[in-house]
Amino acid sequence: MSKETYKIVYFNGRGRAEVPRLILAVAGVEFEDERLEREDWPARKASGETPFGQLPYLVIKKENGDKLKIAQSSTIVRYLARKFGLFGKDPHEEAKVDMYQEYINELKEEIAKVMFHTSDEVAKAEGEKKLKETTLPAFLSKANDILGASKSDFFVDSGVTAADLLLFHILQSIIAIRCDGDKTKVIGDYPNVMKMYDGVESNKSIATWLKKRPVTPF
Amino acid sequence: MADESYKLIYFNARGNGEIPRLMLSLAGQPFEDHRVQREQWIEMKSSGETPFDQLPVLEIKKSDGSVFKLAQSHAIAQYIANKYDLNGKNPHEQAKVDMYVELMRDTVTSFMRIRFNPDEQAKEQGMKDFKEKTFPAFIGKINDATGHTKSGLIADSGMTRGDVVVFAVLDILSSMMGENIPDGYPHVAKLIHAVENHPHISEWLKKRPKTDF
Repeated sequence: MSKETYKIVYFNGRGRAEVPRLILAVAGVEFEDERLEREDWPARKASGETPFGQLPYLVIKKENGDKLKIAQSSTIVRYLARKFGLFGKDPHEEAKVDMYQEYINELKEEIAKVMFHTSDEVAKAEGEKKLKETTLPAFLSKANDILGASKSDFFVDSGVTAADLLLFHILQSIIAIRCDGDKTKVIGDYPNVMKMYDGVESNKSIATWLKKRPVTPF
Repeated sequence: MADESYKLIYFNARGNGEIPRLMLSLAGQPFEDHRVQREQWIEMKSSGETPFDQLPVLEIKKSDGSVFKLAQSHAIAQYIANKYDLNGKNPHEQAKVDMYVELMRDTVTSFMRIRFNPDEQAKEQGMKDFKEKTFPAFIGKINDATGHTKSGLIADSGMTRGDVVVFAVLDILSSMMGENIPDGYPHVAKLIHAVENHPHISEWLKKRPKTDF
């Protein structure tokens, strides 16, 4: 299976499509970046075009013209990361990348739970406090240890993988939305996380993508 | 370097430990099924001997004697699936299996959010919506997918991690929803039957400790 071309379909935002886009950017692979306006989503959903009635989905156009559609952002990430060498260099490294992604996604779930699934104002304020004072520091401390133990500036010895891109993406949103773009407010106390963050941001292909991607609120 | 032996550490429950156990069983791999009590877990947690202070953990003893510790039930399941060719025959099939697993995980996450909502009214409405809309939509997709494969399973090529996850997820959801698989999903019922009757899985199901959850 050699030459495939890709289209990522999502809303006009970073959200759950951004890590797939970052992977293709690092890999230097051109792709069609289809962004749907909110008003156009119901029609697309009803059309039966999407695998699960959700966004994002990846359309893989094979060499023979056949199309394969993949739903679920984690699946899209694993497929593209494996294909383009951003998932670790052997089964044990792969397992680590997978495990770190799961752990990072748990943090993402905690944040989403408080921000989007807690309607009671008091509970939400308590949730935010817990995130800021307990959950996030505990997570960053663990991430800092893991990064410190790695031979590279990234989660695994062999270099940058999807796990780094995922954490970078989450931190970037927190820094922009909550801390006026000042990264030291979030990761100032975690030097290895800072090194990973800077390493991703300064990667030439990523820097190019960050400059050219649409600026969106989410 | 070869994997020598496996030790799966979890509580005395199915919970998040069962998918790794089912995967090791399907792969025909013997493993130490180490179940810890609360007090032991408190000690383990403070000693920092697990990667993320969580269970389950799979301890893989390698042929040179070193131990590789893997956390996160789905990362463990992926590792075993990849190693023993239970994850789809090629990258496209692998992606298909993966996307159905992720769909199931999303459904369980939605369910758990509703189930543990402290607001009784929201919980009642949420459960109603889940039973009438979310669950049928999700299981309908699984039913459609398995109705169209040569194998009657998630992947054309045979039994994979995807089928194990369907089995485990429906086990959790049926016991928490207090219902069995709805009759309207014959392909899913066939899949469950195939998993339950796989020689390695049925052996595991007979010998595993009986626990409430």
